[in-house]
Amino acid sequence: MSNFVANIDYLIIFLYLTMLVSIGFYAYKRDSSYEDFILAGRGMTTPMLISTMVSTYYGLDILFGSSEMAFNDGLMAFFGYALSTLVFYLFIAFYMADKLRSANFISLPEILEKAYGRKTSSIGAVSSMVYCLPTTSLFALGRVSEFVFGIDAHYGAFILGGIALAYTLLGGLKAVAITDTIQFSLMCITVAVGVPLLVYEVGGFISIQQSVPTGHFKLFGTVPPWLLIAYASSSLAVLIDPSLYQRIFAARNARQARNAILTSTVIWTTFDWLVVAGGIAALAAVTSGILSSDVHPNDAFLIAVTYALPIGLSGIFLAGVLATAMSTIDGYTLVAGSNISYDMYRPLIKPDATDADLVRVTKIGIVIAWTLGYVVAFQFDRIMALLIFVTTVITSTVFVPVLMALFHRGRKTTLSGLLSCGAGLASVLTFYIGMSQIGDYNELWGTYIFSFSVGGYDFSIWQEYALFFCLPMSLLGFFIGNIFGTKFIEAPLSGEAT
Amino acid sequence: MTGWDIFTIFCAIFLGSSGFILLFVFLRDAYRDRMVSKKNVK
Repeated sequence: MSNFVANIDYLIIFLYLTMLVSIGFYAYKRDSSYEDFILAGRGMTTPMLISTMVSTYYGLDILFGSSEMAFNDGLMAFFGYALSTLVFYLFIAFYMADKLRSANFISLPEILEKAYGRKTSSIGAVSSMVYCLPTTSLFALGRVSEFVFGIDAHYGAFILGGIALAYTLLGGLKAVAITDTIQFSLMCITVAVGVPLLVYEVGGFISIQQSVPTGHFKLFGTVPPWLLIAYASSSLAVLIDPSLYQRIFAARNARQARNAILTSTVIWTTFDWLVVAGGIAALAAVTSGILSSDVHPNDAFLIAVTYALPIGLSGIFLAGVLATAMSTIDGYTLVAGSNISYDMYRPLIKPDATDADLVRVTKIGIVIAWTLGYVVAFQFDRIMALLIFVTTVITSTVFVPVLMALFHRGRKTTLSGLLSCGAGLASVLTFYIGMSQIGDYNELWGTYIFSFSVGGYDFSIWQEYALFFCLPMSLLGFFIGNIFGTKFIEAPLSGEAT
Repeated sequence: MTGWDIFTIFCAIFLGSSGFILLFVFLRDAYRDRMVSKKNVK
């Protein structure tokens, strides 16, 4: 149990958790339609839409990941990693939101179904479901539980993750969006208060610059340039993030979706900076002896901000941190559940499924996704490696076919969708297995690196470079399928549909 | 005070006020919706 957390803080956390379950009961509607359950009836207000967008994307994996990167590498975490993601969000706002919302889709695999048929959408549904398993969030929730309550990570993740599961099952996206709004406010306010206090506590940035290595204040750090590009490329996943798509589909109209993404992007930028600043300040707190030197980079931000905040505010901050994890768990399990019901059960098992059937199977799917996420979460030592792998899989599999479905106005065939998904998936699996066989594990970077020489020049291929090989394979599969396949005829896409 | 301090304070003010404003507007809308649905029931 943390030394910096007082009884009043525990009371605040308890009240907060009780409130979440109450909201689930409030949003519960016995006879809700599928669209009510999964898209909140496409009637969310703009504040709710912004809150649910921001808080779902911003999970503990990013909170810990960005602060850990800042702790280890400094400003690079903001300028080399976070900003590239934000650029892709702007692309979605200006070029994709209109196409996605106008076509009245319900899920990401449905885009594939309308463009290439059910076989391709089934592969997309499996990729989407695997991507949406709440693995990293449950793992991180367990770690936070250890720090806050002093309980075993398995029990902590089970209890707190179980609360998120309960209100998601009860109220669907409406409950998720209401809780996200409250969670989002908590996250914003506590981070906004905690980080400046921490920076002040360590003597401001003048002291921080003197306490940390000089490389920490280089905009792109000391990371190899190709690795930097690989990190930035992994941000491509936001362009096909099933959970973000669900929020766009749930908007009242395309304009509301675009405005919500733009507002969210500004909020993400400020949030990202504060987390990065907090990570660097945490390192300064360690080097200057304020915090113990055995603090793990993963936990440094959490421990340092809790240290800087006064009693009472620490409780709100920790509730905000729990909120960060729970808002990601609820959002992603809901999408994974809908992948099982709408994108697998409906097309493959029961094409004439009623709304009640879909809601029932979605709830079963939510439980399956949560359970799978929980089981997988504690099987891996390095959770970030798993996160990067899952992100690479979904990007390699559905990035090309989805973007082609939305932007390529020419011919599209069933085979092009299948080959694009299949080539992407096969190449990513081959690449990962191959790297683990021929590459050498590097302890410093925590990844496999394959080094070789050609004509006197030395080259290195990192496991993180997977997308450089897999995306071209997926694109090649698309073009080959388009040459040899027969044209697929379905409902029109990208804003032409009603 | 360096530029990084000022940027940090600016981000904190922006983020904190975003949290307050969105919560306020959300609660206001929820209250209005509740009033409207109560009126409709009557």
